Amino acid sequence: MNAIMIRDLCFKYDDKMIFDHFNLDIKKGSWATIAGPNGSGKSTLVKILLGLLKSEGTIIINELTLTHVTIEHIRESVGVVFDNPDNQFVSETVADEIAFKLENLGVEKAKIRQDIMDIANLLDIKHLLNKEPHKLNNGEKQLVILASALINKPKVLILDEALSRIDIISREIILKVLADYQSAGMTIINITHNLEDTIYSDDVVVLNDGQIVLNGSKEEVLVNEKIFSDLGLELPFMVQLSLKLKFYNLVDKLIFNMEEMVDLLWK
Amino acid sequence: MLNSMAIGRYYKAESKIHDMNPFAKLICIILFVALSMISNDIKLNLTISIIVILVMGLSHVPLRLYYKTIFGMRLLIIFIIIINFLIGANYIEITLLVLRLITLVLYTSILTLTTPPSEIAYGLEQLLSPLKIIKLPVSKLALSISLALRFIPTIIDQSNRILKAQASRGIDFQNSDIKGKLVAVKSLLLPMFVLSFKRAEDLGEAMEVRLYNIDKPRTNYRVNRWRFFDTYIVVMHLAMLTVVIARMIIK
Amino acid sequence: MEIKFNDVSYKTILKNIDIKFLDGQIIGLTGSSGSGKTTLVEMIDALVLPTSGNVLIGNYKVDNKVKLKNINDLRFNVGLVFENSEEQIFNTTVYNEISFGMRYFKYKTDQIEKHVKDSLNMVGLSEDYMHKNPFNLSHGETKKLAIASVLAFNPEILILDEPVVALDNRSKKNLIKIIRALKARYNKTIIIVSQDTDFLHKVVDYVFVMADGQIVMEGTKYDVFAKEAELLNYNVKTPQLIAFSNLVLAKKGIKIGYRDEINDLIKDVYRYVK
Repeated sequence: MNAIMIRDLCFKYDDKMIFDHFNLDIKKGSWATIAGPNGSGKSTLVKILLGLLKSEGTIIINELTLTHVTIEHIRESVGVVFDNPDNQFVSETVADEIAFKLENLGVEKAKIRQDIMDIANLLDIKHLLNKEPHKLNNGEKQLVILASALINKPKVLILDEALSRIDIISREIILKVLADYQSAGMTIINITHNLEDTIYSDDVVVLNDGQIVLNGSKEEVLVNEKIFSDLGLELPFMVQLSLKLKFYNLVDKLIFNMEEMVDLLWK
Repeated sequence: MLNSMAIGRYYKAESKIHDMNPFAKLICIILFVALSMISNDIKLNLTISIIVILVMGLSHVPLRLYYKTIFGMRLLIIFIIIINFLIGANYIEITLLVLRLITLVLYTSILTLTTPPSEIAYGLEQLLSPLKIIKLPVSKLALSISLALRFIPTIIDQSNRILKAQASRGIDFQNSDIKGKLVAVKSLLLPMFVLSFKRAEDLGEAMEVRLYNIDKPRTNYRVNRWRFFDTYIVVMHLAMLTVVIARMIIK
Repeated sequence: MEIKFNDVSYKTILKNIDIKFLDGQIIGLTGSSGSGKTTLVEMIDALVLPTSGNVLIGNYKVDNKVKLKNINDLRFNVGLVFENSEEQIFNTTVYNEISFGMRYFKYKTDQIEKHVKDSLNMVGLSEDYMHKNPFNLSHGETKKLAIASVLAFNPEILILDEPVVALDNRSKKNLIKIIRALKARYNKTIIIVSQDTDFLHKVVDYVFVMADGQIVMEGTKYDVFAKEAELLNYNVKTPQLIAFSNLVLAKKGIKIGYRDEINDLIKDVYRYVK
């Protein structure tokens, strides 16, 4: 069962072919990282999926084919967090910001108030509800944008370079919340050039120049040292460690957790 | 550097004024301005001023914020006093003028301090909605106003950062002569324009993906229904206006 | 040029900062958002003046009474690269952008072109970038341009505020090379403000940690980064290279050293596991 199915996607920009008969499947309920160097087409792909850019080919999201008729329906079931929070805020309080999508859907006031409370509790941002979004620090801002994307419980969540500017505490909260949502069935797609993020995901897709270079589970994909090196992408610390130790026959697979690695090395 | 606190901005508190429907507040401002304009009597104006001070108290906004608004206008007030002095107005007239001006500014501050910009925009939209008949794009206007208001602090913060970046490379707006200031402003405009365009693009996309549709009706979760208190206050304003007009006619 | 903060306070943002940045070092300044890091480094460039106390930069004193003439002389010696490079671009060609600071700091006109080329070279951008529009560059290229524009007037002190946020790996590696070259060849004092402690660990010698407007930790990077629990308290992440060694010590009682590079760590692990 696929949350997203892309077939024969063709997209041109300024006479340059960005995607040429591109195909990709994202399994429902999985956490997929789409990685690639700058200019590989990652962010363009996000915009195409959300109908912000017109393209040719077939795109099916949550079993709905993307057309100008279904686009609103699709956007209802897909939440997005872009990377610059300041350019996404429309309201002057956090609560209003979170309410935005529900207001647009015509949800009634009492339900909006309740949903805001629920998500604020979940993301631990109740104390921020009456604050002005632009005054928060980067981590808090991203939590607010995340809340406003998750407020209507979308089936798919797309993060576009969204985790690059945040501090540890906010990052931990976000990752834990996302893991919980994934357990409840949400599909998560994290677009990034920072491979440290792949540790949390199930699958990894590597793009370069609009083409898929690698696609599979993280255990399958992250062992391809040379490809990542050629693309100028640095593998996560734990993966680098695993691969080098594997070379010395001290471990026999990729280990993503530091404690697990230490226990394995010194049994 | 530019101070984003200088404009009389929304101060969150619990009060009957905060809970009022913004449309009602706007109607009251219009009525009040009319009242202020036709009141030439000093006793009447003092009464009005006292009532305004009572309403300020009702708003639960700290008095220092009201003071800040007046303080921000001190140059204008001094200017007006001087001009009137020069054209030969007497002390009573000048005092009356200053009193009316300050009262008007305080009254308007009650609105800006108790109403977030998006509600003001909503109230404006309601106020101007009859004009939809002549095809005026009222909703779009209200949205533009609302977004502009929301972005003022962001733009100020960004300008400050750009000015600092300039200063670090030799163009210091604050500490330069006129020529230096002109160069600084010209250099400020370029990044501001480029970044504003990018912001507009990003914002439009962020709103679209969250299903913003200007032509569709949307809930405004914060704005309260029209309540009895709203009717009461509007009627009070109308009453005061009527009484004053009546007295003037009788005289 | 040594930098000394003498009991500096600024509103509620900086509180009694009393520290020294030694000449010719690469210093890291870290701490969570809002801890005052940016304000502290802006003070070194006299963009913010202390409300009490003073900052001595070489022979220049920055306090709340300093005059403009001295400020410009100081700024000529301090190159500050801001977090958001796009807010630092004022011209429509790369050439004008890099020469911008030079013109205002009164460089001789005939020397300008040479300096522009040298600056581009220094950051790894080729000469054909000179005619490009800075706003059409990628994020990594914009960052390099910002650094080149600041290096162009050859300041003795270079300050980089969050240089690697959203920067791709290749550009990050280049940046590390540039920083090391600047210290080795020109003995510049380099201050790097960053929340990315893995990055800091690769380049800096000395570290300051800030929290709530105060300096709460300072020392060599090994001293500071080793104290994981304390760092976590201040919302600062320990670099993974250090965290690994700490974990091995904590769980297995084996003391492998603190390393700067993963390859060195591997060698230690290999030794101790056998």
